Amino acid sequence: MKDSFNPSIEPPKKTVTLVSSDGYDFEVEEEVALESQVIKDGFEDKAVDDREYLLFNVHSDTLELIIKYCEKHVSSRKSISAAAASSSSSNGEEALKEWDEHFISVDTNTLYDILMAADYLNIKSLLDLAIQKVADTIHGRSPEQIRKKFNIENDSIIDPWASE
Amino acid sequence: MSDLLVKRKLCVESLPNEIWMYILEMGISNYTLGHIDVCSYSICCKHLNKLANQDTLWSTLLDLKFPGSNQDDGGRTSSKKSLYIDVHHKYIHLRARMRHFSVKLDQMDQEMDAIAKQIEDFDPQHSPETLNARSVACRDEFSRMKQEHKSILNGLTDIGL
Repeated sequence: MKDSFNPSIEPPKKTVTLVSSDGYDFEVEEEVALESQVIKDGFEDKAVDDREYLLFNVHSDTLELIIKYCEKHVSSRKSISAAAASSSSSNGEEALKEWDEHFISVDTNTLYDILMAADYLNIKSLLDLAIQKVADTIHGRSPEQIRKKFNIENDSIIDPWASE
Repeated sequence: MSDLLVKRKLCVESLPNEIWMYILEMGISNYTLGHIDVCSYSICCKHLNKLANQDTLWSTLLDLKFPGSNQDDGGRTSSKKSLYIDVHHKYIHLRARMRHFSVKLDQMDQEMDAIAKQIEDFDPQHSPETLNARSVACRDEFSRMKQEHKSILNGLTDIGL
């Protein structure tokens, strides 16, 4: 449910409320919210009982994805460092990479939304992931295919690639 | 509540220029995008065209693809993109010449095998006339190959190798 987003992990942890542009509240763990550099930067100055962030540029659909991404990364980091501490072998990083790959395989509009949100919230790893996805999509494609893929209107006067 | 935020069709202008630039910068520096991709991107629309022609991008492309070529040419070329095109054409030309030399060397290799075979076939039992004729033939062939070898070496010196 959108307005009571709570992963319910015990013991209860400090939480932060993120409010999407369309007015939905998302309650997330502090460390998940801190994946965003923008939130992290002003975090210490904010009063403890006023940890609510109005994200005017992020729609609830997108915010849900972003939170999913941040939660996954926070928990993966923990299990990777736990595995490293106990010097047991783990393929955590490989698995996370695969997860990322799957996560970012979305339609163009969603990819645009994720790009904008990751930029706005300054989540470097997610921005890089989305950017790489776009670069991969451009690679080896003709201008016409790129236009189609990214809803680009052709306003070029000369198209040297066009067939007669 | 979400009436104002009805899912709209997103377009190029939905993303800030910095992101479009970042896509190119990152794609180029991790070798995802080459000059053909950047050109495809640039002729998609006027907006991307402006971004994709920027000197910084073509500078990086030059550094990665042709290390050492990214030098100030005293204003001979108007932009890094045209410098790239220049260098690229030179590269294509050189590659064609190298192919030509490589084909030549292969030919010479076969010809040398043929001479070696002829020398092997020398038999002291043959009449002096035959031996003499063969040795002249071998010598001629050898000096012709020497000429060819020299011309390849000269060609390579011209290229600067």
